Amino acid sequence: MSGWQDVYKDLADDDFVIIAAAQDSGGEAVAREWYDKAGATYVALVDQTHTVSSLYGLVNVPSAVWIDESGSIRRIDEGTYATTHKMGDFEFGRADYAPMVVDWVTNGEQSEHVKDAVSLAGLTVADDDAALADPTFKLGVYFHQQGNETKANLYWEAAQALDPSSWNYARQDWSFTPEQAGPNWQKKFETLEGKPYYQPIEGLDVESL
Amino acid sequence: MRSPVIASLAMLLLTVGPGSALGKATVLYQGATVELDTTLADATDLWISPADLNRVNGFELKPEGACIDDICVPVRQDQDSDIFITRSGSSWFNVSELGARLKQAVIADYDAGVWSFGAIPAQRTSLVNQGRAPDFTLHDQDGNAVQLSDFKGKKIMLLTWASW
Repeated sequence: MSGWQDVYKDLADDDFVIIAAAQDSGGEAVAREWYDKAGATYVALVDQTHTVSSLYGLVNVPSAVWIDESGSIRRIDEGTYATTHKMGDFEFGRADYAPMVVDWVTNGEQSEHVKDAVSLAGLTVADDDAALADPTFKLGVYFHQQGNETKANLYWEAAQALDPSSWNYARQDWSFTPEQAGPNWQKKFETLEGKPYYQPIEGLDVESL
Repeated sequence: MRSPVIASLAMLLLTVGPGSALGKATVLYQGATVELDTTLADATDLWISPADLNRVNGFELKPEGACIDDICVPVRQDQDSDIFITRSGSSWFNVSELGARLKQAVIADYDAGVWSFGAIPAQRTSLVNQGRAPDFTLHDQDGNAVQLSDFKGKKIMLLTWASW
């Protein structure tokens, strides 16, 4: 999150705002540390029930939506890293995304990275099971907040089964058993069989991780 | 999922008797948690007082039906139906049935009396098809309410992340 703080500070454009939403069922208690560490001056929100992900059909984090002055969506659902990161030998993140943001903020409609208003139609979950996953996940969050981990797990696992395309449901659940998160991730990643991690949008040059 | 009118009314009568057995319930919808002190006990559906409808899901019960924005679901209030009944002088509104008519996904934990409702497809369609950014309200880390539409007129990068 500090990477985006640098980008935001350097841009210092009154007509541009970063609104960050922590998709964290742990809420403020978990998110604050990261915002503090980043010295966040952008809008720093806490989103315990993953409201933004479900409203916009975002399947994983980090992700982002570009919204223009009129309220239209101009890019969506990409691996939104401010820079590249190294974890031992494992490199992740991307170096090309932040410059695209800067170019959009600086050049507006003239930027080659800004797309025509992007319909969410291709992104929104169509079948009944996936639609049911969202309230099911939220029921899990409710019980987690109530301290009822048995029921939280029950509904979080049900949500994952109903909508396997969501990494958010799975990774939030795994966060409570960190020792299994790595193997769990690997197993789910293999089911993709090389398909993009994020949901590619028709006509959008999504670069995925 | 829905049983026919007669069957569900019969079940009501069998399980709780007419106009009795009021219970608490919790409704989760659009990030809000609404506690209800009185609901009509039912084996499958959530019957609430019409006075609670607005704070549960934003709908208002008007003479023509249950309405929000340009969506109106017809509701006869002068006779019993599977969406509206009167018992011992009190009226009850079936929020589960409203959800079913709107094709809204819903899941209930009956033991705890918690109902979690998904988005209403018709409310999303216009936004979705036109590429408009759906509005929402969340709180910042200091507890202040922040609404996306507060920033209209600016370029916004809406960024999701997580500690996990």
